[in-house]
Amino acid sequence: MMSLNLHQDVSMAETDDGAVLLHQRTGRYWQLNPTGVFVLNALLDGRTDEQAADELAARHQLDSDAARRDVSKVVAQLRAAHLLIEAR
Amino acid sequence: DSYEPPALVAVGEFSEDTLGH
Repeated sequence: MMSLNLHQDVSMAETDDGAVLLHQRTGRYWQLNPTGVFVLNALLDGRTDEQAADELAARHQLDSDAARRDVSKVVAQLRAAHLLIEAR
Repeated sequence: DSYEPPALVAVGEFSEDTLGH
């Protein structure tokens, strides 16, 4: 499993409502909710999708499978928006 | 048994008009 980084042109600013992600080259920006920030920070710290999901499940007392589905979904969103890239 | 599933929402786009910079 490769680790993930924010795209080099992307900046993140945490807010009371989660975080705002700005792609400085395209000018597009997104809102990530607090659980999304929790997952993203876990991934940026080197955890796998599964580890991030397990931590999310423990934090919110979720079913493990449900947490993994939620993590997979937000990771797919982050990748589709070209905010996350594989670390070299 | 509060949990809100992780979500990414597109907000908008800065343009030259927005920035002037």
